[in-house]
Amino acid sequence: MTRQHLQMLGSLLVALAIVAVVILVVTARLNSIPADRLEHHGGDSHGHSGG
Amino acid sequence: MVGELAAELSGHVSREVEAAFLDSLTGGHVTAVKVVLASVVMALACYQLLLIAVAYGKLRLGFLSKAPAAGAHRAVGDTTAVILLLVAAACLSQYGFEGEHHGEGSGATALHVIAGSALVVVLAVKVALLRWWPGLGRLLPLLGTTVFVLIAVTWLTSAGDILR
Repeated sequence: MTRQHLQMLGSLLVALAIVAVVILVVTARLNSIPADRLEHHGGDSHGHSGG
Repeated sequence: MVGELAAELSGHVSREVEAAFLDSLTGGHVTAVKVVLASVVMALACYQLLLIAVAYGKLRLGFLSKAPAAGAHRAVGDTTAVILLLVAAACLSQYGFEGEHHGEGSGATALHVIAGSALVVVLAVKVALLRWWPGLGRLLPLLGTTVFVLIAVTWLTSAGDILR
């Protein structure tokens, strides 16, 4: 595996880490939003606040 | 007249079926799933800016050279485009172009619909340029910047508004 391959692999792993962090942070934030506010924005058919 | 009515009814029924499918797919958390996916797209779009700046030599990082940055930009871009189209399809099947049940008539909704539609069109042009018209490659930076701005506007007028 060349240096360039390793650099590209590293870049893709960073992207994966970004995805993981965003999912965790946004899910936590959604869980703290009242269900009625989320429903107002589009309707969660079961009335949950997400997550 | 009857034909128009049948077409409208068929469209309505089709959207109901799609909405039910999305509902079962997301366990009834369609909005929450869309917010998460749209936020992932927004974050990856920021990362894409960094990668392309390195690929064009505008930003020099000792640990990342131009070619791998360009390769990663392409791979992340392809993935982001697929997620983006899935979110767009979910939005359309849930609300349609009219934005019903979603603050109908509000300025933010109109802006969201316009920016979202423009985003899909510009993205399609960018992909077409990459695949079939390489001679017009000089337009890529402009199209890429436009895609980023449209993603930001679309996110701010929907997911960003919910998360604030």
